[in-house]
Amino acid sequence: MTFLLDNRLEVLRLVLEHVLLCAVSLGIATILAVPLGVWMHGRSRRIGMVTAVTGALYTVPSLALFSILVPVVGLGVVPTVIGLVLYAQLMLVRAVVGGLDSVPEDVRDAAIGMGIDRWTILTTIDLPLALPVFLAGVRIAAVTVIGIATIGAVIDAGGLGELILQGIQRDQVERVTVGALAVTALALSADYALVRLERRARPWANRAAAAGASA
Amino acid sequence: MGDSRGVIEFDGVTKVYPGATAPSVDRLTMRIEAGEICALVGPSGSGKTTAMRMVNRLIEPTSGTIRIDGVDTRSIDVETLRRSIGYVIQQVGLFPHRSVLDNVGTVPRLLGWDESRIAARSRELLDLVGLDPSKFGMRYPAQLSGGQRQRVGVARALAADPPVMLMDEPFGAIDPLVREQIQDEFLRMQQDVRKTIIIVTHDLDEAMRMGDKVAVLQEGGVLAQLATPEQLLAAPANDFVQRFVGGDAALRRLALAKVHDLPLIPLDVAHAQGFGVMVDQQAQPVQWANGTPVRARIAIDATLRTALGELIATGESFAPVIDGMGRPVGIVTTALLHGWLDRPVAQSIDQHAAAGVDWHGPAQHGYAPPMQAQPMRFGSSRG
Repeated sequence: MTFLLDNRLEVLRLVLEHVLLCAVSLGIATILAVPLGVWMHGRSRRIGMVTAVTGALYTVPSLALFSILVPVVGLGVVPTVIGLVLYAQLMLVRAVVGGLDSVPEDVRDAAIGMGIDRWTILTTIDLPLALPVFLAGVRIAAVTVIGIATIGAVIDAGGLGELILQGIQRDQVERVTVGALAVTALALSADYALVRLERRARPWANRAAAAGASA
Repeated sequence: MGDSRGVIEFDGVTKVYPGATAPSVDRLTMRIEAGEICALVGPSGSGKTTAMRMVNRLIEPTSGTIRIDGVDTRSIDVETLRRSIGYVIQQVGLFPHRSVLDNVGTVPRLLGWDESRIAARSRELLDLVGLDPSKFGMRYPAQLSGGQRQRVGVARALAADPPVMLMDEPFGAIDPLVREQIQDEFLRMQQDVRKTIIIVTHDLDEAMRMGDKVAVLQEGGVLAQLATPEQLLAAPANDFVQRFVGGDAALRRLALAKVHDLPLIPLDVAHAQGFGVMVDQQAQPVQWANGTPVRARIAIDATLRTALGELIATGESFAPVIDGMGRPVGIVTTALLHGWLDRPVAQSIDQHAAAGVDWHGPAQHGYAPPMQAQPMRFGSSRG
């Protein structure tokens, strides 16, 4: 524990770097995944195509993927973010499609039948109703990205991976342990925060459950 | 409300789905008058839902024209058209993330009403369908029972006061015990709002109950018969309709009419014929002129089917009809019930008016009693 106390500023900086790296990646991934998912939804050929590509990307080992990107975009944060975005894509795109699939068909039929235009249906009915399932996908993606981001240290992206990498190079077990524990704690916190968010995204279900429980 | 807009005309409407060899709806031509309920009924595959969904262009006809108040629906912007047509489906399709009041206000909001007017209108409609707005208004749909959800669905469809309503198996998902009650409530409400309504159902009883007229579709989307419920039962147009309405058509027909529809034998005529009714001090019928007790009393607003059941259960062939106070107002006989079934009924709406005057009840001709002057009961040999 003395290590942690002696280096708390450095650890804090690396934690923040790690959070930033993952948040930016997830943000970009979400911005890409939502329109992509909407475009794919209900079209089995598009779903097959996108799943094949993102699935193939997902099977590439992270170290290999980062290394492939380095000659193209250089070292540092940029190839790491690109890599994380690509990894998150598989889970997020599926989450968007799954979320849209979870919107009951009768709700959509009623909306169309009442004369609501497609854009309004998408933004005020489909996406809000898809949100809980989508957030469940974001949870998985967040945990995955937080883990994989550690590898980014190899290509100079910073973050908690740096701690682990240095620990291995300098043979300092404490450094490795603190790095690993910090990554784990980060993943667990992100998971917990997203569970809370997921619950808040469906107030209608919570109140119904509460009413059912009290009845 | 209460205007006479909303005449729906199908003119040679055909729908062939892409890749299908046979049409789902085949040259459908019919006219539904303003303020009328038309039940579309038929087995699955008869195209009844397709026919309904072509009215608000959820499905586009392959050929033919649908007109509302004489205007070809294709000439109207599709969203404008749909906003002017109430739409109710079996699974209701309430928006789960919106409160009941927000759900009801959906179409007014699309039409750009101001919020205070939307709120007032939504509350008014919840009241109309029998839900207290202050109790249910802020709930989410998941916090309602199936019947309550269906009422909200109806309120939502009525919100912008559309002249036309389309209802696809609207009561199909509701508990059978509650269903009849909700159907009755709906019919009472229709007395006030007078919408032109198309109801799709596979349930003949529901069609008979709800429909001013019933369109029976058969396989291949061919209109087999368009008629009043009574005409359908009394004069099925073909074997298909005959089979569809089933073997107990006579009993179903009796259920459609009330005792007061019959030309009851007036009390004085009965007296003159020797089967007068004697009453007690409370003016309740107690015995016949010949001293036999009155066993059956039939309420004036009972259905003919109830009357027949009562007569059979008591072994009588005639019985006094009583008003709300229990006082006799006439005599009903099994012969009158038979006469009701036996009167000529046209096969279709067009002949309805002509057929209506064809039948003269025995009363108009001077009544000849259907039996001996002395009243007799079945099995009276032992009495």
